Amino acid sequence: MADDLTRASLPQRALSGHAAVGLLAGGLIYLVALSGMLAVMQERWQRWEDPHVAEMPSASPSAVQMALEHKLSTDGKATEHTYIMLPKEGLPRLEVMTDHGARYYAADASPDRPSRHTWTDFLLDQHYYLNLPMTPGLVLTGVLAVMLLVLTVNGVMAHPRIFRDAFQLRIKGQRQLARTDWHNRLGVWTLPFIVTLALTGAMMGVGLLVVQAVALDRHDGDVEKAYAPIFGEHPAHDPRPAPTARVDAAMRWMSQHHPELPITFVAVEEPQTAGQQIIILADQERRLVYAESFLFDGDGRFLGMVGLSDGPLGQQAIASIYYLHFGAFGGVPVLLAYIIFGLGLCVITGTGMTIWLQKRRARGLAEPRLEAFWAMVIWGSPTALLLTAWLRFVTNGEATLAPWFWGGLGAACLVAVLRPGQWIKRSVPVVLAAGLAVTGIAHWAYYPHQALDVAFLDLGLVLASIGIIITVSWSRRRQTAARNAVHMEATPTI
Amino acid sequence: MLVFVGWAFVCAAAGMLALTDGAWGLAMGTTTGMIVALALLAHAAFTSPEGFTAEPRVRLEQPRTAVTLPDFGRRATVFVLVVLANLSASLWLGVMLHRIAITLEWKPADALALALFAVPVLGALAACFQLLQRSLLRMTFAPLAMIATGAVLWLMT
Repeated sequence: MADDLTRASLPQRALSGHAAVGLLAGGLIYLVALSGMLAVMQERWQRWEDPHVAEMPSASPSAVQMALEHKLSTDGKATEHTYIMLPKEGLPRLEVMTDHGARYYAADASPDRPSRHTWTDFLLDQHYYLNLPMTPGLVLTGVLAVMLLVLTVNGVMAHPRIFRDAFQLRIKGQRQLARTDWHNRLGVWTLPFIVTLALTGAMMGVGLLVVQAVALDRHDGDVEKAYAPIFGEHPAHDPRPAPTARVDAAMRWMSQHHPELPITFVAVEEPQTAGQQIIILADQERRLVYAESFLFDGDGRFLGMVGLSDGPLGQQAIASIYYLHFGAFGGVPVLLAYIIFGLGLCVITGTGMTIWLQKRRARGLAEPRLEAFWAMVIWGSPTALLLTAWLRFVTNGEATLAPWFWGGLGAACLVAVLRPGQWIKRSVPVVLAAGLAVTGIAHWAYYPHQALDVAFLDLGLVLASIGIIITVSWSRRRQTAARNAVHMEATPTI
Repeated sequence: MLVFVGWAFVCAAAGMLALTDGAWGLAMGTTTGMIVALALLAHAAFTSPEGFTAEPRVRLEQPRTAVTLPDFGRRATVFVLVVLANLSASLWLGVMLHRIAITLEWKPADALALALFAVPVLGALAACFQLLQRSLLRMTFAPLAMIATGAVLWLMT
């Protein structure tokens, strides 16, 4: 092996490294890609899992103020942070969150139901942290993003005919050839997306370590001070009691001075203390920065802007990471494009490992248990995600979903390893397709009055089901054709 | 020739978008470009000719070489070098880049952005270099180079 590698050309050595990293990180990258593809629609999923909540195009400053006061008074205990999600295109709801829970409010500030988007939160936790505790989870996903970057670079290096083969997709040839074409062509044409995703993901994940290291180096370990050049200073701590912050006054100031900027989010730091500060995030049209932060004191008097949209270039670049990563910079068309690219990344990851396994099989080194494990990861993960969605509905959002997902997927993988065989590829995709169709139809039937763009998720589930059925049927037809071709070849002619 | 003309048009369009709408325009243009490319790819897939479908001959089951302790040790060392050593070394170099940027009176936000950008990029490039190498010794060059560069920057600040 070492001798082979010594003699190998650059593309061969790059391919060898590509395979090594894929083997090491492929499964987890697949899970992060799958949850990321779904997380692109996080706002719609939040509405999908709890469709009865009051929705409105906007909320008046006085309604927001009343909702804030109601939440703080019903909590009955101090909170360090209060976040108010204002109605916006993807999520037209008014939600107030404190350290003690979250609640929706109607347009007239009358209290609606407590927030229960446990499935969406679980999905996001999986994408950000693989459901691990925050710091190690974020670092792990950050390292996976770096691995994705490595896979991209050595994948391109391993592909000397990248331009010549740019539009060659031989899906009607040998299955291994078709698989390789899918892997390479999708990889090449989604390259800007994958590099963006990997780089922004790595900056978010590994960036946590960077900021902690910078904090240790320059700010005696104070992480908030290290973040301050980007997100602004934390307000001075002053615990003396004070009336509730005048969010309404701050919002009115915004509508007078920046009527063109829609407010999407309001935060009150250390509410009901003399040191409280209001932060208003206002959306920026045709920009990659996620917002501009406007700062106000507790009386709603304007203090200044953080500079996310017009500060130093580095500040603007960091403020652009989130929108770039989740495709939130161009409305629904870009979200749909990101779902397609995300699906492409899942296919690239899935076919990559399968190509390697089939190459080994062709060399007489078949790994049936590993093949079964991989097939279960590919088809079992979305099935397990679907089951957690059902669990969320059955328990009305009370169940903790992560143990069910990981326990279920782990058990399924164990069964696959112990009983490898074609049954996995034959049955699990069918279960997934049936589950998706049943979920879409049942959800639509149970919640017939949901908003149109949320109902499209039900349609999406049914379409995904049809897509899986078509793909699996096509794959089986090709498999049968391949067997017949082998049979014809083996049959002696007269 | 046509391929190069096509790529030249793509680059020119990207440049124009970046000039008129900045990073947002570039992102929108790239997204649109990728969607168009995937549509062309889908067309290429549907119109691809029927190929030879028979699966390649599979060799008989080959005898396997057991993973020996030295082999396992080598793989573990590769993992340590490619993941842990690179991460630590790129983190060190990233923090030192931040330090030198502050010394050069960069704005703090720019210095932090430099470090945030540099760490994953350096880590990834180092891993790519390592995975092309033939020996473990040569694999150590990448993290050692980052540590040495970081040390030089440290001495300069």
